Amino acid sequence: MSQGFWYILAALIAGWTGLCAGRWWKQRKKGSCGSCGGCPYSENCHKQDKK
Amino acid sequence: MSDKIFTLGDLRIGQGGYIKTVDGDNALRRRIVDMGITPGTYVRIIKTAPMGDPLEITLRGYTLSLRREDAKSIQLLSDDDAKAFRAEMVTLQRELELEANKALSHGPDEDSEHHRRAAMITEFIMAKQHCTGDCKRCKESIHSGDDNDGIVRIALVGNPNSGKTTLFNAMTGSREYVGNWPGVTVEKKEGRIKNTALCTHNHDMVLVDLPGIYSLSPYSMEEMVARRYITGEKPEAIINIVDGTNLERNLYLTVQLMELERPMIIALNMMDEVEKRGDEIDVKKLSLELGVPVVPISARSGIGIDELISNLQRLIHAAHAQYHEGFNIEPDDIYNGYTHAIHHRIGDLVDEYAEKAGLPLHWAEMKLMEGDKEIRRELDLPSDIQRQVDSVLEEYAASLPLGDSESMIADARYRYVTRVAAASLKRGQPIGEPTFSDKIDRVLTHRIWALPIFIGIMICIFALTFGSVGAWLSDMVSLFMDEAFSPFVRSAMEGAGAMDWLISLVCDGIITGVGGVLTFLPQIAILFFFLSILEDSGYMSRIAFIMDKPMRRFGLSGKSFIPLLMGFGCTVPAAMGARTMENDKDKRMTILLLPFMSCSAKLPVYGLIAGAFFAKGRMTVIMSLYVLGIAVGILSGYLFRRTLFTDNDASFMIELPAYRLPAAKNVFTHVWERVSHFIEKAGTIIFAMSVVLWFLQSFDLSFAMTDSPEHSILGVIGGAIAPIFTPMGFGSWQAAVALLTGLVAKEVVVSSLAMFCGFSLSAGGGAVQGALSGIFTARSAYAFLVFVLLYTPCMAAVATIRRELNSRKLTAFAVCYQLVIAYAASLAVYLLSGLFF
Repeated sequence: MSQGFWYILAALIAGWTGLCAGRWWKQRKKGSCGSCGGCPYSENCHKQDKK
Repeated sequence: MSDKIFTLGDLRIGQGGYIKTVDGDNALRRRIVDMGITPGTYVRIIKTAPMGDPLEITLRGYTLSLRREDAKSIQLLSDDDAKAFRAEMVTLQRELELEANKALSHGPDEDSEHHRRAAMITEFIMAKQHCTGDCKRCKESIHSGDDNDGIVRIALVGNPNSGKTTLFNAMTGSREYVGNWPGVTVEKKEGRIKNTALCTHNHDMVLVDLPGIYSLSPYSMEEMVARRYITGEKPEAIINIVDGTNLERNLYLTVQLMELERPMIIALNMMDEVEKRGDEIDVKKLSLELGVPVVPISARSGIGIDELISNLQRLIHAAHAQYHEGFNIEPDDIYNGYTHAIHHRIGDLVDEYAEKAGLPLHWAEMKLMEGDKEIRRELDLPSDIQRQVDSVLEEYAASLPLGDSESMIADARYRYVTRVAAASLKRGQPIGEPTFSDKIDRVLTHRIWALPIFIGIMICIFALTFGSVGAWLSDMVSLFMDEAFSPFVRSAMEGAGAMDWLISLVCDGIITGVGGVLTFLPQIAILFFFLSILEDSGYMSRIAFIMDKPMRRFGLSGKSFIPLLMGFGCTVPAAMGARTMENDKDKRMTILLLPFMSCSAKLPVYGLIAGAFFAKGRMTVIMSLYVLGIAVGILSGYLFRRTLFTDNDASFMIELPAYRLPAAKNVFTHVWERVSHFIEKAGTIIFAMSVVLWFLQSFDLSFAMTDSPEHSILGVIGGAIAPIFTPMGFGSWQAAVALLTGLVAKEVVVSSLAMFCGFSLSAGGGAVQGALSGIFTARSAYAFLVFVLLYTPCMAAVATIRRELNSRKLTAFAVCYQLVIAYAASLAVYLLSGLFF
């Protein structure tokens, strides 16, 4: 497999890491557990916004 | 009349009496009166909790638990005195009626005619075939007004534990959390109603689930949320969910909602249970009596839900038709002539101000008569009007020997409700006959056996979660991760020619970090499975009842026990659950103590360390941590009670719901919610943390890759903090960094240790112990666990605590207190264990 593929994979891992960390940092004051951007029982959970 | 007066608190089990008056401070009296404990009502003590307190009393066909101390503020009359008292009441009321009828511009008969006509219209509209949405009335009744955003909002209001959220989920297809205890919902939630495309005229129909309330008094935060929403947001219609097994109690709120002058529909819930009990409710008669459309449903089993949804538009039209016909229940229909006349006099004085404040007129007048301070503030009356209002109210309160105007109005409401219930409810068995729940309660809330049974249940739950079943399932996941998945990925990547550093990132970083946490997924699922059963069965309220007296010794209420027990799951919803506590002191104390309850995120840490160092006593070690957390919480409560929160005890009132067989759907939905949340967390923040930690561990300060972890960025940072933990025996950089990363999420402690020490969980306790032996001994490992148990919870929990406490200062204090306690306890454990081992 070409090295390009592995660099793309590494970039994707880095991008996903950045996205998750950024979202956690942004949402942490709203009772986020750092995953979905909000505890499922909190009014700030994204699952509430989707409805 | 005899001067001899008894209080409810003086009675023993089986004794009862008629209520004369209710004393106590405003908030306590209001809550007691709202629960139907009004003058002339017969109450009887049916049981007491272990240690003789709280009491469970029966009145108006339902049961209620309250403390003996609160019961002492309820004055009773003996049977003879009650007769004389009631005779006096009848005479006085007759005199007042005659006087009032002269003053009124229109008689009650005239109103009764309107009432009947509106009820007939309701019946007619309800009997019509399904509406196609084309009729003129249909288009007019749901106005597309300029003042709304194209959304038809329908508020879902009802008593706590009446099944609102179950109905909300059924109507919207949501999966909101439900439980069989009062106070599950603490904030409003919105969801689009499914299957309403036919008649919405391009409007979205949104259902708003409001917290459960007993009345519209400004007594607790949920009541304020609900009433502010209804009076301020003015929803298009209200669905009032009424528990059919407790009709009178629930209709008290219905009456107050009717006064709000909004179109309303009643969803008569738990009809399957009504049937099982042998009771019969004549739904049509109930609808005609109240003048409100009534739909029988069973939210749990889904009976009647489709009908409610498919006919919702028609029902709203019926409600709107009543509204536009000029009918809505008025004080004329509910209250006696004298109260009616007083309400007119108050109305003459304040209507202008109520209109200005945007409040429903009848409701504002009645609330003013009840002495509602919030309404008085909102009305912003000039001082001369205030004086006139006070003078009318003093005259009103002095007219009957019921204590105050608030008791008089509550009494009138309950009289109306009793009349309505008597006309539509036929009981299968007389009031007082033991029900199925009563029979179970004879064992589960027994004065002697209740506490041992509760402790036994908790031990069983922990044994199954952390003992053989949970451990075996965890081992299976671990085996899959370490023996199958990780080697497969490694060999696949090596075979495809991936770079070494990338293989290390994926296998040693991500799979080790995320996999290490996922190993404990089965145990978390088992714990939540049992917690859901406790909640859904109705046992949760019994725990509050049983534990109130012991908890009070440490300055807490029995109600604190529910959020504290939820804290074993997650601190975030538990802190939010504390909102149901009426007393601010109790609420704040409960929130401050919550972090000591070991949340499920700490479970993987215990599992890892206890499995490695205490393989044989693994379950005992884990249980000892839970017990230690509870003990530190109790001692802290005792300390706070004597220093920070020295106010008097708040009142305790709780309804014990009927036992129900936990619904499999509810239990599995709850478990799935938590499991999916945990998996989501593993795939996002734990993934991110694993990558960041791998990077910091693999590179040195000059950003060159290093094979020596001590010289890595993480090694340097950890090395600087590590000496702090040296006295407790775990002064290594790995342990220090693991604790630091635990602030993001407690599970990351496991990921960190797995990455730093490079062990495979499936290799067994011995191999893991070998890998961790460089940083822990058995003593320091236990001290480490104690520190993990007690130190600051994750940042999400701290943020929630800050929001719920609404105080930066108190939050900062909580964080510092937890750190100090964790350090001291961990040090003590390490030093003391040194004396024996």
